[in-house]
Amino acid sequence: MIGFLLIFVSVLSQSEVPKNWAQVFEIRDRHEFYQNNRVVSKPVNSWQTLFAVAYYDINLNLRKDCLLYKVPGEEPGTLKVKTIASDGSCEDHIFTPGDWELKGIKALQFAVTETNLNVSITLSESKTEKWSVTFQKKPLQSQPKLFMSSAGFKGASVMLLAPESGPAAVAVENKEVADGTLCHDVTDECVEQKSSTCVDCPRGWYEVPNGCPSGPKYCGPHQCGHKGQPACRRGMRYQKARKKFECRLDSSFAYCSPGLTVECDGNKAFCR
Amino acid sequence: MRPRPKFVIKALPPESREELFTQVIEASIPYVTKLWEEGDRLISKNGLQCEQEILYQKDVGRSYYQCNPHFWQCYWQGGVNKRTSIQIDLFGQTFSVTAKASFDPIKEYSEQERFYRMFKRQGSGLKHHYGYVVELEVTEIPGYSQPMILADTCRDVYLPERVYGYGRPKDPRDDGFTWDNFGRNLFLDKFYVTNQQVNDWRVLSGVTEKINKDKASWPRPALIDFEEQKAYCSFFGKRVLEAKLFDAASMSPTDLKNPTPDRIQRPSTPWQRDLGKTFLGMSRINSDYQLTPLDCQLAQVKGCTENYFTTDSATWMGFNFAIGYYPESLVNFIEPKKNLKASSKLLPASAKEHELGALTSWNGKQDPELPVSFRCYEEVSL
Repeated sequence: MIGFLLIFVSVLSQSEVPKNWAQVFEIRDRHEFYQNNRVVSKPVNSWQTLFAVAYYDINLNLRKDCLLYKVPGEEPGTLKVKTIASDGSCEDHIFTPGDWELKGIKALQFAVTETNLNVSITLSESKTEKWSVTFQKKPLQSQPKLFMSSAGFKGASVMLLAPESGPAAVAVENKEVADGTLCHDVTDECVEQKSSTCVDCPRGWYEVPNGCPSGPKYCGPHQCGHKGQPACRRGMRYQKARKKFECRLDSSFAYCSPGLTVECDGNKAFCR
Repeated sequence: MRPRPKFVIKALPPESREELFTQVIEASIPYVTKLWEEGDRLISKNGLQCEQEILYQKDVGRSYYQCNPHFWQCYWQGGVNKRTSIQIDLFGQTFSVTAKASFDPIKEYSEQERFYRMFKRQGSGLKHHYGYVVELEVTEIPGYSQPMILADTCRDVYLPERVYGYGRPKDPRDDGFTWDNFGRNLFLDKFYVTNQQVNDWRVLSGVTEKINKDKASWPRPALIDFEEQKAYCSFFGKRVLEAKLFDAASMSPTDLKNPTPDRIQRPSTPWQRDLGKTFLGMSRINSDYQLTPLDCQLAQVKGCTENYFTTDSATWMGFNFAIGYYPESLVNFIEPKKNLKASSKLLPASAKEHELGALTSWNGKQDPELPVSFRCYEEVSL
């Protein structure tokens, strides 16, 4: 019995997780059909993107490692890892060589939770590889608290980076978001069309108040209240009355500099 | 009866050196964070021994050394303690975690190789606009190193969601201008922007001819024109502080638990609602009033010894220097001409300007007779 256990332990050897995965902070591009802890068995003989892991390298470039898998069929399966820029598509690399490949796979399954990734690979020679990755702490998205700093609210105060800058072939373009770009799309009916990306604005952002709890926002300097500029947001609850804000009927949720008046474009308030 | 033998389950170290290295680094993160955010606690009575990097000055509070890259550099150069490693006990072994001087010198400061690299975010993705890259290694596990970002978690402080008042109407029955910040994540600088921070901005933006090389003045407020103040704050995705935010941060709410009170109180000072009961009120009626050290801790006015980075004047939400200290530049969209905090160390304690809500006008240009400080705030939209 003891002998059997020893053999079993040696077969289930813990393998080395691919480089840079200690710095992973999230999973992206996850295959929508593959469930946690279910062997990936279909469609046989085809290449599939299982998922990608995202991390920052030492030069602060956001990269992702795509996990591409040829599902076993007539031949054993192959797993390859390809490092690409974060905005690239894993699908574009299905038929190109990986930066790292593992052949002879009999079965593969994986599980992703909020905090962990586990991959289990059974090789043809009855060997099993197990990768276990704990993600770096995710940024806090909850409400900020008294005495909290903006950096603490945006994420952890320490963030690990991958020691290597990745394959030289991975070109990362650092495009700055231009001033005037809509970074938080909220309609006059207060429907959020897309979540805010304003934290990406290089020089901050400004809001055009429209009577919603959060109005549409654009990248660029905040110059509210001046002539031709958006009105300044005054708030929704300072009057302690539950009102339905219609800019043309009641623009009290916004204000302009002295001598200017609030003018409405739909429900959006500007100063003229 | 013989006591049962205790079974201690010891975790086994991972087989791979890389995995062991990762685990040691992970275990060290709370200590690295503490060194970064609260390293000032390690400063002994003798101060710091790195004149080339950062000075220890008795009139500068310990907060200056928190999240300060020059302090980080000084620590790893051995200017704070003789021992410059973080000791981690793991798997029955002690590991020494140290920072590597793997970054190029910042020529404007010194020829010394750096234990950090400042960065300003390029492109999108990273939520922090700026920060510091450092690299750690473990003496007992050579051949590996771990770069990481240290964020500036010491700079600003959250303004809680509630209804606030701007200014102090003459008629106490007048509710004046009120507003609220529900749904907004506003973070205000705790202190004035310093010469050191402006230097770092100039280094990051490659405009180095105006670098202030006088290290003794680095903790002091940066005295730059309004256009440069705006450019500085905007570079980091921030804005120059607004007058109504200044009032919100300094006028203590009557009931912290009720964010929508029926009346918004406008106290005269952050620490006492009735000015008459403060040293400022007493000075107005008694021209012979002698300032005490405690008075000067609450508000640095004319006649007080200068102090920087003191937290004795902190308001209800952690904002400093509400009364006295330096005249401060404020953006004011409600009354644009009232763009300067009038109360300052230039005026005697008896001056009527020493009240919350007292604003005056500034032309945006620095003048030796009127040195104007500033700070930034950031509104975060996630």
